[in-house]
Amino acid sequence: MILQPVFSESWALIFGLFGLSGFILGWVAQRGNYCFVNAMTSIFTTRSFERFGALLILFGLTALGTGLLVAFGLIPPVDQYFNNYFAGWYILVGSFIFGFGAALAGGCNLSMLYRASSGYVQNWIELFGMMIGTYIFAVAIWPFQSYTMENGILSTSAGGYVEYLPYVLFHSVSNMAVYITTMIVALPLLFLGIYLQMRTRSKWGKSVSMKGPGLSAVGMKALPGLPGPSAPSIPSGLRLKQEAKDMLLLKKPYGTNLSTVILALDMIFVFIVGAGYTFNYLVITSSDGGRFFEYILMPLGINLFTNTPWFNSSLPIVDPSTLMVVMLCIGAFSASFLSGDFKIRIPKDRKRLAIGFVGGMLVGIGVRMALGCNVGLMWTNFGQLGYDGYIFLGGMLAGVYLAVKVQEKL
Amino acid sequence: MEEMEKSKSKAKPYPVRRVIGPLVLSLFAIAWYQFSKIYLTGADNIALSKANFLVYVPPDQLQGYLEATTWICYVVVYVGLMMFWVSLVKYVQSKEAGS
Repeated sequence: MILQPVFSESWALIFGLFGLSGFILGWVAQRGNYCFVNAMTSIFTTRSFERFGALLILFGLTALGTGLLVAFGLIPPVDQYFNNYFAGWYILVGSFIFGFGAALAGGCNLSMLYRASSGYVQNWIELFGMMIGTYIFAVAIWPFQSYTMENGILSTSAGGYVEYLPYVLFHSVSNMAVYITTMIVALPLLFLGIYLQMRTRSKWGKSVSMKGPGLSAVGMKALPGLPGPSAPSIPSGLRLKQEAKDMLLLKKPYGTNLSTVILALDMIFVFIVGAGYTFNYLVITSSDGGRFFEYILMPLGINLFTNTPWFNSSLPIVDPSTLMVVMLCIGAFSASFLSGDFKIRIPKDRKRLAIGFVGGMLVGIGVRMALGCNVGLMWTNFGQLGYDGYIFLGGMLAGVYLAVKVQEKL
Repeated sequence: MEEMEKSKSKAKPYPVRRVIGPLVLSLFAIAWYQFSKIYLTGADNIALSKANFLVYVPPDQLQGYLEATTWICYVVVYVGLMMFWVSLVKYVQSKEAGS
């Protein structure tokens, strides 16, 4: 098969646009306080599905956007399945370890980066732990894991279109097969996400109204995702305008669903930009743990890619995700600085730093085992119309649940 | 009224971190560019000499990366210096109002 780029762009432009996408990702995630782990933790602690519902909407919108682009023939299907990974035991185990570690450390791969850029020292420690975890994985786990992958032990060994859902369901990658699969994947995710959000909001509404009119205003204000009490004299159009102005002037954080829509558009943007060049290698943030560890050692004359397993076979020295991660940090820093949030924050309880480091190590081991993180494997895979994202979601939820239970005991 | 405003600015001086932050950002951008130019290009040559084509980046891609990094570096440095200048002015104003 001869692969033809969809658009004729220079590599400089592709790298630049991936950098821009990273900047948007960092900015929006910081302004929306977007965290996959917090979304899952809140299910088990406060029984709130508000943010988890937003995650499902994010996956659904991404699948819908990329799927329709392919179904209508604007982007060839090869761009969705070209880099599809092999599914196997390691995704389930890795996502479980990742969920557990990230919930302990206090942030998923995305929130770790934007919080570290906003001055949270615990997330710096988590990032360092992640680098060490990646090294431990590379020398201790990767040789065994790659053996099971090569020999198909509890692992598929095809990847590519064989693990592309339209092919799995219809044995075809035709536009119609992609269209139907897109609907099968995206619509349930969207409806479930919206339903979960509505259920949570109605529950909040009930609990607030039970408090009585005197307390309702205070209760409403304290709940995230709900509009605060409004004076009846202000027309809703004017209030909306004021809210939009406050968000633009960085006086107010972005709402969960606004962030969700922008992030989904960002992923679709990368899908279009990378068509024919990077294929479905879309929004990747976990390579920082491995690659940046390698980068730190380079000035010391140590090149891990020359003699260390995984480092010598899994990551090119640079790719568009390098600039994406760097620009994500710059975007998050800019957003936090301009909004006045930026501050070096050292946790008063120093035990949190040690927990952050251990959690970060588990995150490093988990993401490398699973072949990606919550962004690069789970979210991206929904855009690839694969099934690894579902496996990752299940494993991560189980890991986060265990971490919540462990933290209750601590 | 004026006294109230004065006491307010005395209570809340403009934080130094907001002055240093953009400067650190600009320096980071320059350091990243220099690092890419020196170490990543060097590492790519080592990968080629060892014939490790799994990590080797073809010249057109590496050149594209360096070009994009250069432009990003320019933008970040200029924006960082502008932010630094604005913050510095605000810092000096808050100091003057405080004294």
